[in-house]
Amino acid sequence: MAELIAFPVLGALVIVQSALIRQVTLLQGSADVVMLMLAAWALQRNVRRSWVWAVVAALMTAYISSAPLAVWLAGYIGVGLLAAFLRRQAWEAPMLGMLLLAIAGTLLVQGLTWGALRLGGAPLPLGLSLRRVVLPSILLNLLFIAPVYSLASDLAAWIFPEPLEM
Amino acid sequence: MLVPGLMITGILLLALSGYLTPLLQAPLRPLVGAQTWVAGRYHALVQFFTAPRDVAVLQQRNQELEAEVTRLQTEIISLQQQIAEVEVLSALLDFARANPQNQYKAAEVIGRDPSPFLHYVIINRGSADGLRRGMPVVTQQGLVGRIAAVTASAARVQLVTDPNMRINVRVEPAGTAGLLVGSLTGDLSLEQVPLDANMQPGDVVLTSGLGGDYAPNLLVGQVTGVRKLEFELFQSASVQPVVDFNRLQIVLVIINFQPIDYTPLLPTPLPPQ
Repeated sequence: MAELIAFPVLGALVIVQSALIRQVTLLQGSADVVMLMLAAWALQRNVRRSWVWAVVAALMTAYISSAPLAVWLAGYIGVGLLAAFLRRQAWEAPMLGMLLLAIAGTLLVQGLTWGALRLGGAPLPLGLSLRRVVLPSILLNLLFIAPVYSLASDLAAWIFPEPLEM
Repeated sequence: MLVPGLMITGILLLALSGYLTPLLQAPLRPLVGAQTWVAGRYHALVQFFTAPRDVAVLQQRNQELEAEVTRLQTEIISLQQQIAEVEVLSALLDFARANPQNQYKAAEVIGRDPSPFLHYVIINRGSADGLRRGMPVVTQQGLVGRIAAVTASAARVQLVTDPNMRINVRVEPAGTAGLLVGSLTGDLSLEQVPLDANMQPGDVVLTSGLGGDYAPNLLVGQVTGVRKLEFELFQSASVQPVVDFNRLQIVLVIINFQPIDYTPLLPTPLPPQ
């Protein structure tokens, strides 16, 4: 059930990301709600095999993106692993985990994209990329952590209902 | 008989001339006041008994009117969108009529590449509509980019501002050839222009057709500044694109242009003997 629900949820988020979120830019940066959703989902207490969500998200995103599939796979699985690690370390403070993941996840995914494009010969100066894309993207991602986390929490509560105590 | 008649006539004359008005108003004023009070109390009483029903009716009417206002506002927004689309389509139609040598397929921009490093848009036409990889994409303003990938019902367009984009162009009126390069920030720069070429701000940049990637004479932008250093091999220039890529809604794909793949003609190193 948890793996099956990934398809409609992530499909909708990929559409929202491409059609809406990418239109809202700060300098050249933009938020990545798919990455935030993966992080928020992996932080949920009852969630297991969050890497399945990461793989589904990477496949869907790579389908519409010009960046290589390996970039999305490595980036999103990395975010999922980082979230699983943080869940063990800071499980009492999920919003703190989301905050760290928004920063680290953006650095990871965009760093991988930047590296792949540089290897392909694209002229992407490091300083300019940080100033114009990465840092504004981190800022925009921070704006989305609360709504995305609450969406993931509601979804997790719906999929994994807590047993009633008698 | 004469005396009463004279008195009545006198009173009538006094009344008609207005001399008796204050005298007549004095007894009428309390009567009118009393009637006004009674009528006011009556209306208050009627309102007291009928008000609850009227409030319910008014609330219902208010809801109906609010729903009507909402519906009309939605209709206004929808009509405004349709007007904007018609204006864009009309401009595109004018462009297509002005360039009858090309065949066009109109497509709507439905998304952007999820990565902010990449300047690509997604359009809602694909190979089922006759689109192929490499076809140029334009608007009535000028060149947008070219199709980089196609599925049956959608295509991905690489914008001219993409950092990986290279376009052979010609600067008019001098006719100087150069290479237009995209960038991370979306600015365009013109590279590899010979030092002795005459290039001024305000010159227009058109595709040259060299390399076979684009149809010639598609407007790309306008030169805004020239950088020319004596010790360099080439001069360069910054170019303002004519297309506003943040407001792309509908584009035209030139479907009768086939890009030329000249890679088989490139020399390959001979195997060691």
